[in-house]
Amino acid sequence: MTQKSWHLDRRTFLRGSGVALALPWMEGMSAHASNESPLPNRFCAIYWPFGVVAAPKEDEKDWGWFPNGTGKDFQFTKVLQSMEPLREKITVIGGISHPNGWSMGGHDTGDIFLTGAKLDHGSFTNTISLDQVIAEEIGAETRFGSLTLSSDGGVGEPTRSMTLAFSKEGRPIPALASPRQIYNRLFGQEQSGSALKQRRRLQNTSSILDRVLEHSRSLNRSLGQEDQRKLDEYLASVDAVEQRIGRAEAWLDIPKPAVDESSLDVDASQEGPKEYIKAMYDLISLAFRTDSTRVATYMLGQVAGATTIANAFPACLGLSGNWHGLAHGVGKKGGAENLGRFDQFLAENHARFLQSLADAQEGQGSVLDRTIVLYGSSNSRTHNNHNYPLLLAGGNHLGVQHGQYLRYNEKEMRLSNLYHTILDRLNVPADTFADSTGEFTDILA
Amino acid sequence: MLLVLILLHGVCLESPVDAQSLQTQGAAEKDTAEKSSIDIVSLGTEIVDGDEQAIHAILSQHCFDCHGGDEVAAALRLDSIDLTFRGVDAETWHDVLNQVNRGEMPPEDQPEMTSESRQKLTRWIRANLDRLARERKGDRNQTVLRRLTRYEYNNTLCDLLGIDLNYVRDFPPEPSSEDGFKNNGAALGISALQVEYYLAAARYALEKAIVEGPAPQVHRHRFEETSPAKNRNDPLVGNRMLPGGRFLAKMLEYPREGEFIIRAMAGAMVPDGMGIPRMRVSLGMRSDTQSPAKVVGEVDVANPEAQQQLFEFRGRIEEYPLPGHNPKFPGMTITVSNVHEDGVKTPKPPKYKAIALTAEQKRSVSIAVKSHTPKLPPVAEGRDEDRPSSAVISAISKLQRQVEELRLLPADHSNQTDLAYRLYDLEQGIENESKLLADHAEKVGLNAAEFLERYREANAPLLVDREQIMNRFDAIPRIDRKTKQMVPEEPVQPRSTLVLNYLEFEGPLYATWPPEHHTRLLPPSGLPERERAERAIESLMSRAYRRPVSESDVLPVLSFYDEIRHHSPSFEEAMRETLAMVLISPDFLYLVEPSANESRPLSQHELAARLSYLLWSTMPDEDLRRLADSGALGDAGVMEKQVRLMLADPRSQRFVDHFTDQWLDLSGLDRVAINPARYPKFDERLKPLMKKETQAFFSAVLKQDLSALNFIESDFLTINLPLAKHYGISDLEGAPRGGDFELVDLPSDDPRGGLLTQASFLMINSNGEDSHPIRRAVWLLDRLLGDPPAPPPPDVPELDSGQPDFESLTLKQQLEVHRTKSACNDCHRGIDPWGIAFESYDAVGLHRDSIRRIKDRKTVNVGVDDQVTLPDGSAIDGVVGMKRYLLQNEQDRFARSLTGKLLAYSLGRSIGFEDRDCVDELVAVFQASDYRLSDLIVAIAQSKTFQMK
Repeated sequence: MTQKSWHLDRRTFLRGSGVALALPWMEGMSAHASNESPLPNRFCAIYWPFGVVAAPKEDEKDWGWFPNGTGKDFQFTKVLQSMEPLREKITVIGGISHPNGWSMGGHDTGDIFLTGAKLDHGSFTNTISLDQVIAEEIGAETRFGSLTLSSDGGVGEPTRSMTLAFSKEGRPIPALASPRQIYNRLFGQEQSGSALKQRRRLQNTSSILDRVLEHSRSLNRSLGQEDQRKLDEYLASVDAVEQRIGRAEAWLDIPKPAVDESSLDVDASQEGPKEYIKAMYDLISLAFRTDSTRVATYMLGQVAGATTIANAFPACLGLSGNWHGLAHGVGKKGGAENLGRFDQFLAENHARFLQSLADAQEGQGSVLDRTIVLYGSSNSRTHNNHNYPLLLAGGNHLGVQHGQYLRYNEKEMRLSNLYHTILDRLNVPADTFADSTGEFTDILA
Repeated sequence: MLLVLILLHGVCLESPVDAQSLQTQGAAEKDTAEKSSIDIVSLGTEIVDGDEQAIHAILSQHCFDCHGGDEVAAALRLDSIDLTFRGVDAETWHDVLNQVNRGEMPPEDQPEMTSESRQKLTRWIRANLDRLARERKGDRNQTVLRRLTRYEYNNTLCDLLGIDLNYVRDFPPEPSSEDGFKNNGAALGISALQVEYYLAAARYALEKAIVEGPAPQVHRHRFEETSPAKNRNDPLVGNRMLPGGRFLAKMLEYPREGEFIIRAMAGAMVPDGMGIPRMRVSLGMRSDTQSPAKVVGEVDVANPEAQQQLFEFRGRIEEYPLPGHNPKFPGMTITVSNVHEDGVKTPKPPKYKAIALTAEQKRSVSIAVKSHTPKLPPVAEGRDEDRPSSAVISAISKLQRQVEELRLLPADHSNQTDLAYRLYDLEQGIENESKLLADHAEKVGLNAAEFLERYREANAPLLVDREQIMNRFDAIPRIDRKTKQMVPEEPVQPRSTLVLNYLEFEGPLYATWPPEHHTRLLPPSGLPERERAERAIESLMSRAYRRPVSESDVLPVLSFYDEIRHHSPSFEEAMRETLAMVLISPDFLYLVEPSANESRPLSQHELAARLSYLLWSTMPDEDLRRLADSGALGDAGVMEKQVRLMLADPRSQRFVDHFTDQWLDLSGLDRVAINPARYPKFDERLKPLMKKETQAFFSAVLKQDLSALNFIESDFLTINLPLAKHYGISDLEGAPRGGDFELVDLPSDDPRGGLLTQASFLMINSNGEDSHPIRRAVWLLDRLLGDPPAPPPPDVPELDSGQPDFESLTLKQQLEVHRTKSACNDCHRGIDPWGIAFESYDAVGLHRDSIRRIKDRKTVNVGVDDQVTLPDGSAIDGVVGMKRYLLQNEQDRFARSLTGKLLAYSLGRSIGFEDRDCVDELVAVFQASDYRLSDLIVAIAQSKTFQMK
């Protein structure tokens, strides 16, 4: 198979002329898909901390996050203005949240944004996140089951997690934060020798993991309960790698898609949030468009406040103060504009990402038409765990309809219902999700 | 249980009435109550039956108002707390005890608790906690199976294989536990991603460690001059390096793998009273600053240039940016630079582009040159052969061209640099003219002076014209076109200069081939392969698992070798894969201390591992291993000797760095973005130095056996020259003159000293623009006194600055506005004062008398107000007052806190109230030894808690 270089200059990338972007599964890049196989379904979630200007004063209405008006008749404020061209592909949702988060600390709910679990004083056991439910179902179709990103990387600590993704055991999945590292994982060519050597090592790996598992199980019997719980984490992780091995072998003969490194800023770092956030979004977009994965999450920042690098993003952009400070200062004179401008910046990045998916042709529609993208925070304003600002996009070919601003009473609708419906739209069988009580029918076409 | 709750709730509903009726009770009792905090230990520990009802009464009267029902203050709900002390509530009771004991609860604006009630309550809590501690001892709060942290794993892999590389670059960052530690077993999880990376790292490491094929070619280079040669005219490039100067050594041939050494023979010229040059050696792809390069090492060079010294720097070439296989710019460059900064600007040749004349101007110049060029006076009648050479004529004509061009330019032309060059050229031309004419005169046998005189007379109008043109440009300096220096040269002050005699590179370094790291893993090749394999497995395993191994450990690995040997291309490759299996086993990745659910003494090897990870953040070395083999570690005397030996070893710097970083949250420096508009002089490069200052301070207290009370107040600092300049004390006697950190004595009236005036603490707890008193307070209460305030509750209101002059208030006043809201006041009255006391220090750690703030895009200056009243009523006057207060009143809390933190780090787990007896004993030792850290560490290592699983 000859490989086309995916050289995406900025203009092609933004316009997505579709010429340079011939879709990979049609070139037979997927291990499983053939020409007859159905087009893929995808999911992406983006999260940011500390909420927004949720209830602006009269003279600061422009900097409120939620649109004015409701239903189909709504107007964006300055904050979401960049979404205007995508109006028919997005829905703004207000009023709903995870009821389980209501009694949790104002800094604690980032962990449950995609899980809906209740983390109480003393019990920090989370449950599986929405993206992982989806990855369990469709992850095997692609080289990478899912892509977990955050600006700080790693897992953080309970209630201050630096990842949105949690395994079915409720354990945090470490997020990647370095664009270079993510690029190498997705598109980098293997350096460790020939295909023969790689295959040999892959076969060895399987055997190594088997034996290590066996040995560890016997070790487990000699341990106390607490220790056993820790070793179980290890066993589950080794087990998960082992399962991937079979898949990795199937992928060995299929080259990674050739994506020109210079088409994005892989050396961007968190000190330059503008370039960094763009690079992270670009990587997700490329991962989707090359069908390297179909599930991605990106935690833009964490509610851990002063203890994260992302907290300094606004200051690095020249806005006055750090993220947490901006959110706290909304009541101050000019404070709404300060946070509003930053939220506007975030929304612009998100809009550019959505546009890149909308511009990429796929079948009779675009990549966005088969991707459901959730964008939101678990605070309305800082420390308040109600009325999440949420923006749902894409999935027009999956039976999702858009173009509305939906507002709910939190007693009548909850976020898990939306998640249940997302699973349903993506064809992931599920009777419920977390504490869901029904479907979220207003987005159904 | 259900009954109790219902009962409590009933009491709760009635409590408001009770509370009101009691409101008038005496404030006089408060005094006694507050002093009761010192009584904790002496209070009785017996539990009287029927007490619980009396306790309900006290709680409902004083506490449930705020800490009851669904909306509770500080996330603390007491009306549903378990009065039998089960589960996590025990920790809550501990908090309650402390707060009530210190008189912080009930708060001032609530009815006073009688001293009788207070004693009854505290005694009851205390007794129950004691009972619980006795019950729980041994079956809870064990150190849980602990994974090695990123850095422990890396150190271990380096020591195990004898190859120092960064194996963990791609590993996800480690979480911290609630108390800030990264080596907390409960917090250290693992995921599939990490298992993948462990396996990849193991294979990468073994690829390096086990070699095949002939010895690689060794590259040796020696450089006596900087390269490329054309840079030699740059005053900043060369063997004599002013501050900011560089010496470049380009290598076209270099190794791509293995250890290298760079030797630099250097000395220094240091004028009296000036700073010492600091030599930095870096290695990278190209010499220009855009391209990647990495620092190999840095050192102060103080020896005079007449006494050159050899400095050595080592590294692994893989860790440096290597050019690709077919690079645009081949080769690697070693850069030696003098990174000392003396604040003097090295005059750099101004960048310049010649002023371009229009075509019309050029034409007019050409015409003018023809008519204005001075003519040579005739030598004598009819002597044609004496005509001047064409060189003379063209030189004079060129000179005139320069004059004519200058005639067209105004003296205030924006391109002053080109004018300066033109004027210099012109003056050179005039000098040259005289010389040429004199030469010509001599050649034809005339008196030169006389001939020149005739020349000037003959061309008088033209020469006057020329002079007038030049006079217009009197104010403009001249720049020498060759040296790019001003003429005349400005007087140059002597500056600290690094003098490099020569530079050598050699690599890869192998004393033998195959190298030691290879032969250490694989037994000599004379033996049969399978025997070699078995011995190799056993040897690596016992070191990697940090314990003797048995046949049952070795056999599964050996059988894997048997399985893969036949399809592996070589014995070496089979061994790499086999040993990789060892390096992803839980016995290597975790500190395994098998035990059923009972507590048991650690084995000697488990104890050795704990000790080694505590003090060196790596596996035990040969000596410690032998000690464990001999079984002597159980002896308290042997243990003490070993701890002191290990502390004296340079590897204990890892303990200093990691413990200090985690205890004091020094990484927080990287999370603060300093606003350059507010602090235009702040240099980002100071941040790592600030971190180092605090680590050096800790190191000094530890290694010199000083009292740990120095953390609160000290009469010395640990700084280097850049920090001395930052703090504005580089003129202080004994201030450091180089980049190395030194201990500097402070004058007795200096407010600095201790941790609380160090830039690290002050900056970490700022927002990059201004101080952040709340964060400073929380840091102080949490990190130094071990009593973190409760985290913000759900739905905290925003700080609403309805007041129009909010921005002009001092921060103390702003926070007072904040506290007028009762929801805020509950917690913040106990927090804010601790941080406001530091208001005289700004976000970058500098002292200030007033605070700049922006209001309506204008700067307003607000006075510093750092006078506060602490929750216990003590009046504190700023930083100095705060430090005095801490030394007088908080020694115990500080000692307890530091002991607890050190114990938590030693054990790799959080400290609970069950550890109270152990902490009590350790605090007693700590205090009895005048707060010497080394004694505390010895006591920890000898403690039962440390030696038991």
